Formats: sequence, C-alpha cells, structure tokens
Amino acid sequence: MTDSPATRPSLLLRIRRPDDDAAWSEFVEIYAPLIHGFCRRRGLQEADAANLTQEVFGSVLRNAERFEYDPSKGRFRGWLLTVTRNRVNDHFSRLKRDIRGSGDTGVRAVLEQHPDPSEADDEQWDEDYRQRVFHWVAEKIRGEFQEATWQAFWQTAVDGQAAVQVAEQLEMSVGAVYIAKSRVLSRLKVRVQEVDNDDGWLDG
Amino acid sequence: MHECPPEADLQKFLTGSLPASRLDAVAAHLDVCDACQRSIEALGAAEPFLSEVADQLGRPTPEIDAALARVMAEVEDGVTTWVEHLGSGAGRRRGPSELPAGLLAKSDEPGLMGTLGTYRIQRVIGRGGMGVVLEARDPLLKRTVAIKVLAAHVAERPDAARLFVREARAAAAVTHENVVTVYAVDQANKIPYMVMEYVEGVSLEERIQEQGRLDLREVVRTGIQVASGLAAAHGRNLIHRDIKPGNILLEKKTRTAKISDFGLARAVDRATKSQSGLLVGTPEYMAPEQARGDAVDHRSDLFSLGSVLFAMCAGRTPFAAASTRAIINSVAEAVTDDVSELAPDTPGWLVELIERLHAENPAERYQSAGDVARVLREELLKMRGLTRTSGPVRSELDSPSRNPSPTRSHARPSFGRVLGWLREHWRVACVVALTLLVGGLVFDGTREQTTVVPTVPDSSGSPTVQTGPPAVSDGGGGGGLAGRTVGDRAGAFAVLSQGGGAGVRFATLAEAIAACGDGDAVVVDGDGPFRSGPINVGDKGITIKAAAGQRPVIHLATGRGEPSGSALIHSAGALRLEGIEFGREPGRGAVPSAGRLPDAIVIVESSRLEVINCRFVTAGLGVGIMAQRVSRCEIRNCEFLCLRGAAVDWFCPVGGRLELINCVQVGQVGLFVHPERSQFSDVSVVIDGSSFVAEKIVRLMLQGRPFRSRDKAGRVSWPITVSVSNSVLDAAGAVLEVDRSGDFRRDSGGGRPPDGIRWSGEGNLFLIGERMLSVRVQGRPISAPLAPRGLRDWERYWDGHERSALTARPDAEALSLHRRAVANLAAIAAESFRLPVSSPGRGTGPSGRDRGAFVERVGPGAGYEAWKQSSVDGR
Repeated sequence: MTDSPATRPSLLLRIRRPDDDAAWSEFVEIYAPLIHGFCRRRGLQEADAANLTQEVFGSVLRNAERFEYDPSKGRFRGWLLTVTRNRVNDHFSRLKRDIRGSGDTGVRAVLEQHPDPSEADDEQWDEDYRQRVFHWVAEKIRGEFQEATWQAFWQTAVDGQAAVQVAEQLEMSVGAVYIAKSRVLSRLKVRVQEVDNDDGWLDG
Repeated sequence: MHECPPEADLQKFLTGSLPASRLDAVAAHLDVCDACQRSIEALGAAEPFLSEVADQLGRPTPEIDAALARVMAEVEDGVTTWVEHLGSGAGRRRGPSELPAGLLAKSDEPGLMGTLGTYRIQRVIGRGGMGVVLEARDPLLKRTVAIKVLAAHVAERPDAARLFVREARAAAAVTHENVVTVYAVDQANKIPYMVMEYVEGVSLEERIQEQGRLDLREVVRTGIQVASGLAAAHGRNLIHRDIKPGNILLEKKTRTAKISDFGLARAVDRATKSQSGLLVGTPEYMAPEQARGDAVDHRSDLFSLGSVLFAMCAGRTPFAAASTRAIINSVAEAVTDDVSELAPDTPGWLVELIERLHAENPAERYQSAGDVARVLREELLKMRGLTRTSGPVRSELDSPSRNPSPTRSHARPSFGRVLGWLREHWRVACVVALTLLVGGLVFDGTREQTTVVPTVPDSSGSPTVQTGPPAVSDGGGGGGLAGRTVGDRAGAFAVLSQGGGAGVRFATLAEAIAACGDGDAVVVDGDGPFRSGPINVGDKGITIKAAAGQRPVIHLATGRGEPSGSALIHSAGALRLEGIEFGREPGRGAVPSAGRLPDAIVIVESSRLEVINCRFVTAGLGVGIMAQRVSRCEIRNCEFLCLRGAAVDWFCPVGGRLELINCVQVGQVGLFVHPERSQFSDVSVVIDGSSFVAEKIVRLMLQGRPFRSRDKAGRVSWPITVSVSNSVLDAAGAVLEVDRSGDFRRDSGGGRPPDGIRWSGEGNLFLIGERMLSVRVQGRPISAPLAPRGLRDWERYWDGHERSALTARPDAEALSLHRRAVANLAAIAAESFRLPVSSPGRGTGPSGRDRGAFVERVGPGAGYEAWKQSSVDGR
C-alpha cells in the first residue's frame, strides 16, 4: 500500500471499482469472519451462518453504490453489524414461524435462547473487529520480513519472552532482536491504522 | 558508542522512528548494556500499541472453518448470484440433488423406483438446484406425468417448502400450450411435490449443445412459442426471471416449446417491489437490471428471450466470458457478442430484433412478449411466402424515437421540372460557335464564347441552334447514334497526337476516339450540344478536353432498344477529362438500368482517372462518374447535378486514392465508396473545398470486419480514411452513411465509430438535417440510438478529429444551394453554382474565405479558363 492514510480512499469507495481486486479481497477477508462469528455465536448452524454471510455481502455489494458520507452514522462496521443482526433476527423469526409445532426440542431451545439485540453485541463486535484486523494485517505483512526477524518480533512482543533469550535462540544479537521488534511493530502500526481508516464512510 | 543513549532515543528506537544512521549504533550498544535493555523493556511496557499487539495477536482467533472458507472464496471470486435460500449450501454451484430419504414408498412392481401417493415413480428425469424431477405414471388417468420434489438437502430447510409451493402456484396459474402445465400439488412426509405435465423431449439447451445452431425457421417458430408462453405468464402478472434454454422444453412429437421451472418466478406485486436483495437467475441470460439487483419487470424476461434467440442462432450464449463475475459485469453493461458474426446468415430483421430485446434500457425493448410474437409470426409468414407486404413489419421494428420522416421541407424536383429546365437552358445557353477550319488548327487562348451563328448548311437539314429547339432534341431520325454535330462539316473533334502537329478532325466524338492512339487527346472545339451514343474507348489512355474558350456539352443519346445502362464514355484505360459538360438526353434518364452496372455517365475501369472542370448532369437514377477499381482518382473543379444518384461511385481497390477538390454536388449522394475486396485496405479519400447538397454526403459500404493495423514501423494504417476539409456539407439525410452488409456489430454506427473508418474534418460547415450518421444493415436502415446527433456529438464521436467545424441550420433566410436548385433551377447561373451571399459559409472559413467550393473555378467554360490561368491549381 503506497497511499498514506490521509489520502487513501476508503475501502467502501475502492470496492466499487471493478478492477480493485485487492480492495474486495481485503473487505471479504476482514469482515467475513466477523459476520460469520456473530452468526455462530447467535446459534446458527454452520450452513446457515455461511449462507447468511454471503447474503450480507450481497447486500453490501448492492448498496455500495448508494453509500453516502454521514459521520453521524458512525463507522461502516457499525452499519454492517446492524445489517447482520437484522438478518439473523429475520432468520430466527422465520424459523419460529415455520417450525411451529415441530417436536424438535433442540430447535426450540435455540429459538428460545434467541437473545434480543443489546449493547453487548456492539462491544463484542468491535472487539472482534479489532482482533480480526490485527490478525489480518499480521498475516499480510509477515511476508515482508525474514523469518528470523518475524520470530524475533513475535517471541518478544507477543509471547513476551526476554530479548536476551530470544537472541540466543535465534542466534541474533540482542540489538538485532530489538531492531526487528521495532521494525515489525512500526509496520504493523501503520497498516492497522490504514485499515482502521478504511472503516470510515466515504469521503465527500 | 559506549555511553547510554538518552531515553528519548530509546523511545524512538522502540517505535522505529530513530534515524537509520543511529540505529546500528544504538543496537550495538543494547547488545552489551543491560541497563539500557531494562530501560527499553520498561518503555515498551508503557507503550500502548505494543500491549495491544500483544493482546490481540496473543489471543487465538476463531478458526475459519470450511464452510466459511468456501463462502469467502466464492464471494471473493465475485460470485454474487445464488439461488434464493436454496441450492447446495453456499452458492450457485449446485451439488447433486438427492431425493429425500423415505419419500418414496417401496413397491413390489419391478422397474419402479417406488410410489408416491398413487403415482408410480419410474425414474429420475433430472436434477435441479431446487428439486429432483421424476417420471411417473398416473394409474387413474393413465398418463405419464412429471413430478418435481424438493431435493433432500433443501427439504430440511423450512422456508423451502414455502417457496416450492409458491412456484407450483405460479406455474399453475398459467394455462398455455407453451407453458408446462401443473396438475396438482401435494405432500408426502411433509415434503411437498408437484405433479406436472410430462414433456417428452429435450430442453433447448441440450438441443443446442448437441446439434448446434438451429435453422432460421426453427428459431422463429420456437421464438414465437416462447414469446407466447411468456405473454400468458405476463398476463397473469408473473415474471419468470429465469428464462433460458435450460428452462425451455421441446416436446418431441408436437415440436412445441414449453417454458418450465417457474421456481424463481415472482408475482409483480406492489408490496414486494423492492427486491429483498438476492440475485436470482442464470447470469448468462439475465437482464442487466437483474444482474445489478435493480427492479425487475416483465421486460427483463424479454431480455432473456433475446438471449435465448441469440443462443439459438449462434449456438452459444450472448455473453461468453471466463468467470461468473465477468459475465455479470458484461450483463450489467449489456455488452454482447455479435450474432451475425457467429451466424452470418442471420437475416437483418432478426439481428435487429435481438438487438432491440437486448437494449440496456428496458424502455427501449419491445414492451410486451405479444409484440415480439407478432413480429416473429409476420416474418415466418413471409418466409413461407404468405404475406402481401413487408411494410408494416418494418415500421414495428422502428424504435419509438425515430423520426418518421425527414424534417426538411424541400422536395425532390420532379422530372418534368428538370426537363423544363434543360430545355430552358438550351434556349438561353450561349450559342455554340463552330469553327470551320480546314487544315491547320489554331487554338489560341483568346477565343471567347460567341453568339456567331454558323451559316454552313448542316447535313441534317435542321435549323440552327439559335432559333429554336435544337435539332438534337428532335433526334436526327430514329437511330441517330453516330453523334452528329449541328451544322458542322469539318468536325469539332480533333485528335491531337503526342507528337504534336495539327491533328485530324472528326465529325463525331466516337470517330475521334476510335482514331486515337494511346496517349492522344481529343479536343472538342465547339460548344455543341453534341449528341453521342455510348462510346467504348477500349484500354487506351486518352484525354478528352475542351478547346480554349469552348464550353462543350455532350449528351448521351440512347435510341430505342438500346439498353439504357450504357455510359456515354466507357473506358478501360486511363482517362482524363477537362472542361466538358456531360449529360443524358432528357427523356431517357428515368428508366432504370437493366444491366449490372447502374447508370453512369462516365465509367472508367482502369487505374487512373482525372476529371477537371467538368460538369455532369443527370436527372435519372444514374451516377455521374463510376470509377471501377481506379487506384488514383482526381476530380477537381467539377459540378455534379446528379439528382437521384451519386456524383461519384468508387469501387475502390486496395490502396486506392481519391481526391475530390473544389467540387459541387447537388443531388442524392456525394461520394459512394465500396471496396473491391471484401474490405477496405489502405484507402484514402480526400475532400477539400467542396460543396455538397445531398441526401448523404459520403456513403461507405463496409463488409467484413475492417480494423486498423500497425505496420512494422509502428505506423497505424486504417482501412479507409476520409478527410474532409473546408467544405460545405448540407446533408438532408446524414453526413455519413455506413452500409454494413454481412457484418453487424451490436453497436455499429451507434456506440462507437466503426473501427475501420478514420474520419477527420477541418473547417467544415455543416448544414445539418436529420442526423449525422446513418447505419444500414444489408441495405436496411437500422436505428442507432447512440449515433451522433448534432455537431458536438459528431466531434466527440470522432475523438476530436473533426475540428473547427461550423454548423448552421438551413433556413428560409439563407437558402441552401439545394433549395435554390430545386426551387428554380433556371436561376442557377449557367457557369456554376454560387453560394448565396448570406450563406453562413461565406467569409467564415480560414483566412476569412468561403467554405465550400471556390465557384469561380468550377465547371467548364469560364471556370475552366480561370483554372488554367491560375498559377496554382484550385484555389
């Protein structure tokens, strides 16, 4: 990515361009597990969760043309949560109607535990999103570094090991370990920031 | 470095913002300094981002399970179509559909799969995304039926039953021989099934796959049937939404097409107007509004019908692309392949019909299936030779926006009026001076047109020109073919040999030409008017020119019984004409030619033709000059009054060059160009400083698929370049007409310029009539909604290659040339046409000069003299 965070058009803008495959991939890779996770947490079966995820993307695709900048609407992922939640609710409503009278206790149990939308949803959603972004960025930038560098970073920053020990294991100097850590960290920070910016609504 | 770096530096080091020059030094220090190591660790702990990284990446993230991975892969591929709710889980790709277990009751009867209710199930006919179709026997009514059952993996979904029943209801609502009939809906073990008409035969898709393209009659017949079935469904407010060859069954015995699988059908209902959002249908046959997820109505079915017709004609789908996403993009932009590229013998009307059904804007399509059926029926009747007229069908194919008639109010001159003008012309014409020279001939530049009447008695005994209608018009007897001059004994036609010398005189042009050798010239010393029958020059290269100061007029006279398709001069050798007026004897011109070639005054079939300061007058259907396979054609300072034909018809060879400089044409078409080979190649047309008042200025016949190419040096070469400059283009019909025979692009002449034509214009004046560009396919005009209208459109169309153009509307104030000619031909000066003073082209061209022909140098007589005396050719 060569655009600086300030000038890069948001993801929503970019996914409208038919030739920007990278934007679309990024969009799917970051948000699909989010949506899917939400569905699963709400008790949907695997196949249903997958279907619903697809439906949500379809909805985004169709509405991408019509998005407008409205800061009061919050972030895009908030909108996505609403869409996802609505669809899950619809799904359960239909289930309830159609399985009325079915003796299937398991299904009924799922239906009965169907929780109402709450703020807990939003928080969880945001958390999941943030985590997803980190993991996605980490996967993406990993290829930019040598394996030793990456390990040096991971073992110190994530696993929390002491630099001296890591240096020994990886046969690097301590200084090199620190350099590795700082390089990867700064790269990570930049990319996460970019993705976060993407989450905003369209500009202008 | 041995000293510990300041904490600020360590901080920067940690966050990666330390300048590279110091990085290594600090790192080296950290290698050995425990204190700094501890400092940096402490700093790290306080850095929020670092702890978040640890937190986020430290926690395991939920696995992406197989189902999700599949969804992600499909969504990333852009597969955004899927059957609503149904299908094998994650998308369009349908897994094999299985019968729900326990559906069929076992039967002892051999050969049966089982029973379902009272029906005896014999075999599985087919599997679709939603259900399985079985062949069964109804023992009560003793008939074979088809039973459609929800597939196993679908049946477990509760909403599936709902949709299934809805499909049955939809299909049952339509009773029509071209729709598969639904007899009943029932359920077994809570699994619904519908009992339908059994259609013995294959689907249209299978038919096409096995046998390829259908022949025309079958296409039309099937089209009629499908359209009728659709009309019935639409009549019930049902949109099928998935019309495709796979859903059209062809009953073998009755050869009837039946629409099936209303599974995705949806009633048009105000409440459900807004799409709940999923793309349904098969992308290859989908209407663009469907592919985009916009509102769909019955006209979307018509689009699909067009695609089905296409598939029948071409043997494949209109949108052939590698991936589903690409198909969707194509559909959404409604870009199809050409049906006549794939099936060249598809008749133009059908190509046009498909094209219209494929209009991206639903409002431009046929508005009802009934209309389509009707058109197809008419054409079918015609194919069987049963209709009387083709008129009504043609008008149905017109797009609603097409102007029914040209907006110009002038009428074509009637023949009678032209005849009157010619007679009048003779009366007022300058009288011919006949030179009687015996022996030597002196051509000096001082001889001027005189009114001297020769007193030499003429052999025909007819009166002299001055006093009455010329003897010519009476005809010197029935067969006066040997072109007599009036009152001339010694002959006005002198042959000048290359070697110079006095030259020999002949009484007739034919004799003079016969006496010519290759490279000789015939000088016409006299004003005539001379009559001559058709002359065949042969293949010698000659020049025929006017003597200085003379303004000869030569008419083609055809006697009775002569084929009127002859030309006055027909040469297979190089030909140069100067300063002569050629015409047809009035009274003959209206007869259409029975021969292969259309009428022309001059026909040249050689490599070189030069025509300078001549005039061609014909009121008939003919053209002025027909240049057959002429490689180099120069036409300069000429006037054409070819009221019902083209001024120049050029059948051009590869690499041909034609120049039309300072000419005037009033008539039907300015220049008509058609290629000798199947397509143009390296052909160049240059029109400069000319005035055209015509129905069409340039008419091009395009065959095959011309395209520009690059030679080894990287230069782009165009099949044909047309360069028009400083001219007045007063086109009643269109400036450019492209006749595409045998090749039809969907957007030919419409969306983008034909690849083979490079048009460039500079400093032209357009007096615009109906439109700028007209396209015909196999001679038939087609609507090209995207063709340029108006000058700005035109300029954009040619990518800016039309520059410095002016436009003006012909109006009552500044009468156009044509109007003047038509209204009162006699008022046109004998010498040449002149632009009216108030004409927009006056004084507005580059350097303030007039656009259009420099009329002082046009035509025989004074124009010819002026041209000869000018130091520079032309202007």
